[in-house]
Amino acid sequence: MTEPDLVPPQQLGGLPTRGRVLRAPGRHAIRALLDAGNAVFAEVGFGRASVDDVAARAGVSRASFYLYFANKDDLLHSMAGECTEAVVEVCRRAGTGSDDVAAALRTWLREFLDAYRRHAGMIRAWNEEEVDDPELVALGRRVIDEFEAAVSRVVAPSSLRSRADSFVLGVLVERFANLLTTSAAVDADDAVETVAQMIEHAFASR
Amino acid sequence: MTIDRAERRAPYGASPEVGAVGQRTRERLLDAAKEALADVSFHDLRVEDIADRAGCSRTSLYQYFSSKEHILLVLSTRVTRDLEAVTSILDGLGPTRAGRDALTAWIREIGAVYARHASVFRAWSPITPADEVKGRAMSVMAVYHRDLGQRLERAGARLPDVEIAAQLLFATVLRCWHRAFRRETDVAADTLATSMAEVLHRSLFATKVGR
Repeated sequence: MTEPDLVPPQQLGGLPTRGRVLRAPGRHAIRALLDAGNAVFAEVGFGRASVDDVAARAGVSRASFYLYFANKDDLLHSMAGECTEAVVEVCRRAGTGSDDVAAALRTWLREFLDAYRRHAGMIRAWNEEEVDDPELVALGRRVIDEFEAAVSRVVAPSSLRSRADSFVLGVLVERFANLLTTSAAVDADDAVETVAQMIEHAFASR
Repeated sequence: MTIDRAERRAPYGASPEVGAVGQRTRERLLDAAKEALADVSFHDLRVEDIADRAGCSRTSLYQYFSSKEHILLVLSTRVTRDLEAVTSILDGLGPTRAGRDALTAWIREIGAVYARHASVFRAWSPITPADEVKGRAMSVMAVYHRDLGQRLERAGARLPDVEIAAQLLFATVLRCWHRAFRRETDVAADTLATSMAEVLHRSLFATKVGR
């Protein structure tokens, strides 16, 4: 299977921007729309969100939205590309931190949490199976695979006794980020420290 | 739990009393909603479809439920009741082998509850916290998490925040079962339950106990 191409950052606009050279205001609008998409889809879900909601959150007109994206699905496409890149990037840094393994684990958990929060709307759409496009579904799978491989790298390989162990560890870390993204009542510092100690207790650190 | 009480809503009928036939209709509607949620999202679920599936009219549905939100709330109450019913298994939780076995048994039971109510679990997460249903369901879950946290504390879990640990424990178990049911892993259910118990038991108590 060929891997779906990642969307290069300079081409984050949707179908209407193909072949167009965008100037700064256009790039700013695209940035604002992608961020608004993540905020709105995280709050109400992709299915219930409308183009109007996203445009209003981004502070642009409905007409401007259509200068850069053909529709809500087109926006989701760009969001998926950007989210994949961000998660893959964070995953590559897993297990490569300083010699202080305890500090490296906590730093990585925070980096992952930041990426998860920035892309919360896209991740919610994937998690809740609101993505129908096979290409995006495949991209979602790839994100999960990269993530599970990365999580396994933050602990000593010898402490993962089976594939099931890596699976459980991956779910634990994903739920940690999910909890902090969906529940305002949970303190981030407490949660990072708690999950870090849970990982340290369960697996020997590398 | 007064939410899950068979009651004829005003202005239908002279009294809220529901007889045996009404009780059965109400149960049929709840089953129909659960079935329908396996096929469509809560957002796309229509009251008409629930009534159709249950073989009754919309008017008859409205005698018992004010909305699809009301139905989901009743279904959610039953999920919570089933979850709470297995919590006492955790009385045996502790940093010992017997404690790990208690966790294994609880994890399996949570899996069984998930299997019975899979469509309700799936309908739940997409609802936004602003919705009334979600608000009420979340306050029930907050009590559940607090109870779980107190159990972890009593069992001797040494973590900075046991309530966060309790939420992570429960969320991880549910999500693992969810993904197993969605066939997103080829790890067998039995292996998965054992692995969840071993990993999570160590994560809570930092002690290794033999298999």
